[in-house]
Amino acid sequence: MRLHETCTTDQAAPHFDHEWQRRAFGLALALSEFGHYDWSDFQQSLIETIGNWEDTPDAERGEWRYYDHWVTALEKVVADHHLLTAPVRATGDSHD
Amino acid sequence: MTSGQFFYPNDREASSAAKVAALESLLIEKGVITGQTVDKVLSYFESEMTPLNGRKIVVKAWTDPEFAARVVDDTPAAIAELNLPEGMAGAEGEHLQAVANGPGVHNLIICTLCSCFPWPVLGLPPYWYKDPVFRSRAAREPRKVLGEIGVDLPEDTEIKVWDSSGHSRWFVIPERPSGTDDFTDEMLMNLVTTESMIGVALAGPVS
Repeated sequence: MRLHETCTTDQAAPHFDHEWQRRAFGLALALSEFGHYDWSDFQQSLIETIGNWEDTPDAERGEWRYYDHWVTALEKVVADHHLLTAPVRATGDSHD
Repeated sequence: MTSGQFFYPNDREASSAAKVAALESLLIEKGVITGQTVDKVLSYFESEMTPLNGRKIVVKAWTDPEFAARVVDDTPAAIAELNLPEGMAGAEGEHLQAVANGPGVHNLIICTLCSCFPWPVLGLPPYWYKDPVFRSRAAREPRKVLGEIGVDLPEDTEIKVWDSSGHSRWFVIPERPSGTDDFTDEMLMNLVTTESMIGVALAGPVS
């Protein structure tokens, strides 16, 4: 296996390849910053999502796309915390 | 994206983009966030949570031997002494652990589980850092990987590989380059890159 060629030449690569990745990043961070879940909950969800990908045989899993895993993990943590199914709240208090 | 390895098919790309847009819209509609929330958080993050914080920590360690000892011993407490932006203790800033390079020792940070990267001090990682090939190879054969990315270390230099996790987010205090005795803090700061604070590069070069 070889490192990707850009590892040696592209150290100043942009952080996000696409605006949607930046939005996904900001959305996960925002929901944590405003107390809708603990950052560790999101992180655990991301670890599980990536773990599932790593446990899937090469032939069956898609290519490595970090932000796809990010989005899957975000959807799961939003569902786990009932952010879209709980009654509407007037304040930004905890959903625990 | 020109390489096959990193090629994103358009349909998959569109699908993830659509999911993110839909999720944000639903959360706004539900009153969980407002239309400005994500922009505000991103703007704060992008202006304040940058490698500048890490550079300040490194330069302080280079110029104050007592701080250099404290920052390795109790990283959060030492960082709290510096006047860095609010939110340093937030997402990914908790559990920061500094390790110092020195004569005969080079530290390399990886994350084999996911990217538990200390954003508040380093900014976001280079995208290749998150690639499983890089992570697994760096864990298995760090000297070879470092050589391939231009970090040739003497044979007798010990390479320590640190695996970031939810409990410890490592970053490296690189070695101060020689010939910098008369440098100002600002000049020193220019020598510190994100890559050098992950251990995939050395500080410098001194021009």
